[in-house]
Amino acid sequence: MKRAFAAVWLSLPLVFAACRNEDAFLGGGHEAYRCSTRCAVEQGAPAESGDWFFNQEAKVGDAPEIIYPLSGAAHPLDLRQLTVQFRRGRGDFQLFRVRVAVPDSGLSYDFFTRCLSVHEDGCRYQLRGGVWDNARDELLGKAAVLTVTGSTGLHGFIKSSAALPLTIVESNLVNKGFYYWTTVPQYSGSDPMSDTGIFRLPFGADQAEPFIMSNTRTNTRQCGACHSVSRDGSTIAFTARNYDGGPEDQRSGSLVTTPTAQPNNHLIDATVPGTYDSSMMALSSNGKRVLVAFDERLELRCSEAAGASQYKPGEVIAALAKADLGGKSGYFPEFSPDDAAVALTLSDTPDSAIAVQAGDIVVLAVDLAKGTFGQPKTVVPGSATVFHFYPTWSPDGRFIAFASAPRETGEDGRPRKSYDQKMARLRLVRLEDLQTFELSNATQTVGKWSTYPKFAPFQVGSMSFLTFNSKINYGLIVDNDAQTDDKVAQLWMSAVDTSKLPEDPSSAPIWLPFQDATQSSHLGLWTRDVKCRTDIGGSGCDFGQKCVNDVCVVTVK
Amino acid sequence: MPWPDQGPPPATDPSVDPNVVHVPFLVDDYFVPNGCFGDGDCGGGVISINSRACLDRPASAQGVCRLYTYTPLAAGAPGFQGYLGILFQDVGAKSEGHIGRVPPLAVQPGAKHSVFWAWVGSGSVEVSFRAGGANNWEGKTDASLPYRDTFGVPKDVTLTKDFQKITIDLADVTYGDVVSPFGWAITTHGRTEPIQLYIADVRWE
Repeated sequence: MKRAFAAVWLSLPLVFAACRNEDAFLGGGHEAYRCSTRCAVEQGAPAESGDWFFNQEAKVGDAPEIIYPLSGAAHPLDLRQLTVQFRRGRGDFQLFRVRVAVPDSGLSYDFFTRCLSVHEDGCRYQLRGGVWDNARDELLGKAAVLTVTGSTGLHGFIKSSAALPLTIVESNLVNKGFYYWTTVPQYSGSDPMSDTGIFRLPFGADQAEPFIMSNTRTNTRQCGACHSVSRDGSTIAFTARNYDGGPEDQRSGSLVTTPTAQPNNHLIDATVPGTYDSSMMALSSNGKRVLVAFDERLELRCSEAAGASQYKPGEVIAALAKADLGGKSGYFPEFSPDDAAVALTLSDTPDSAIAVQAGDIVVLAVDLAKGTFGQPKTVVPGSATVFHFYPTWSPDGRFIAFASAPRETGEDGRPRKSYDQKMARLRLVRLEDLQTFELSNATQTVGKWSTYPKFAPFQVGSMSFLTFNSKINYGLIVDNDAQTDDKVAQLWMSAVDTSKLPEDPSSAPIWLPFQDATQSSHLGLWTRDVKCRTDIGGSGCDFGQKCVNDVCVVTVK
Repeated sequence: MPWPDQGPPPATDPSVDPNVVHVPFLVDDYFVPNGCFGDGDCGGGVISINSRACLDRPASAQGVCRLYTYTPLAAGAPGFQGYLGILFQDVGAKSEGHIGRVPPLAVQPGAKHSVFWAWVGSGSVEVSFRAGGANNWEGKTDASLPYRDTFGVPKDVTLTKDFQKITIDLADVTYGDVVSPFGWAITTHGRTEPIQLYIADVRWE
């Protein structure tokens, strides 16, 4: 009755409104919207929210605009949260419907929310909980679209955003290990005011736990950013450095390796301060060998416990100098999934201990049992105009992803280098024919520091997952474009489906939601699992996890 | 608050002022818990803030959940004050968090309340929550400091292990710039065992 009255009342100004090219409510009836299992109403939104979206489409004013997720993103089934961010459009929109649907199938999920303000004219809504869990299950593998519709009122007007393609993909990433470097502010009362170091989590956990932290028993020195973790999750290696008084080109630091179950009890401990024996490194899949790049050479060292092999912990098994590598120096090594080869960057123009100004991607055969290396095979040659760095193997060993950047003078007036490289873009080389492909969807836009790719060592069919750092915007929450000096690097993940080749096999990336969006995160690395710690009390796992067969698994649902 | 039906819209969109925080908003999107006062001046481990420790949280939560662990100082201990509190503020220049030195943010008028969820790890604990009150706690202001809230709305609640949805009424509050939209304080009354306070999803709406 009330609705009918309103329709009659509101029809009166229709003629005048139409003459002014404004919207006018035309009335009309509908069956009341029933919010059942495929629907959620956010706190503060009216109970009859669904009925707000039977209105006539507005002719004037802006529609909502989805800013995040990115168009064409592949959202892993295992990732339980997605924070949709959108510009509100018309200022008088009071309520919004976030709809994930498969067109022409009758399958749709609706989430009703007010505009929880973010940024200047933006809104955020976090999809999480039972309805979103069901939605991901039901939308798996289907060509879904996301829309946001604004409504001015129960008897007002609506306007919808453009439909944004979004796919839920099988990922099998849950409880796989992820290690990365970041800072977490502690705000009040703490000394220091932030935790900085290497954090870890089993994928699916809401938050990462501090793991290798500066100035603690896990790392007695001031910094430990450069790290490697064995694919089996058993061992972590890092370079422990004191930056106070150290050389500016980072030619300092000492190798540390430790079982991930006992990060306080090092297998290889840092040598005396002033000794330089490590910059970047790669652990073999089982963590028993570590290939260390430093001082323009490579050393293969033993990272087994004493008595476990013929070598002592830390003993150098083999070394490769520039003369063994065609007169170039090796950087950024990574063992292949079967440990039969190493991918690395060879450079004749180093920049520092951890960066190059020129480089090729090469593959080096290796026999870990014998401690011998083959001759380098160049798979992506650098040139006078472009260089390549940060190679990472696909799970099946058939591809190597890497970053490329132009050889030119950078914004600082110096030659561009691999480290902190604004112009880096993500690429892929197929080893069987050495054909290279752009990962443009993952990179998004050149000029956003999209770099340091790392494949997760697992795949589903032809699809695998590639994480990387980037300074692209995280929707409206991290607006790097608005910053000049304080852009925040964040970790992103793209699905790479090699069956799409020669088309771009990568998807638009998703932001990894366990990060602190106010802090930079770098150097993400994947492992098979997260080992329970045995050098501390309790379960050896973080909040919301339990130790099952020596492995931390997520329990919070 | 009933939601008004809307008639025909104005000929032009209402402008959205980019210089104010629009209501509703999640407090954690604009403010951080950096204003601490009380026992030991918040040093020496009397307070820790953990954003990873909420094993469970209300299903409707959109915002951050934090665990505050307050270990009160015993009477007579150096720095003993018998209470501790934390105010959310903007991140000041050079990470300034001192209450009274952090400038306010302009907040859109019209918020009717601050709403959030809270509970404690064990037992029951009386907690004084507050909207506003920065450098104006119960009328006490240090005039030598540049910034203060012009309002302060208290809400005293006894918390248990059960989730409680708590509302601070702002309907009668006039505000423009806000230094601290939310804060809490606990008076120990001689208690020295650690207090685990969980607060989730703080909003102004």
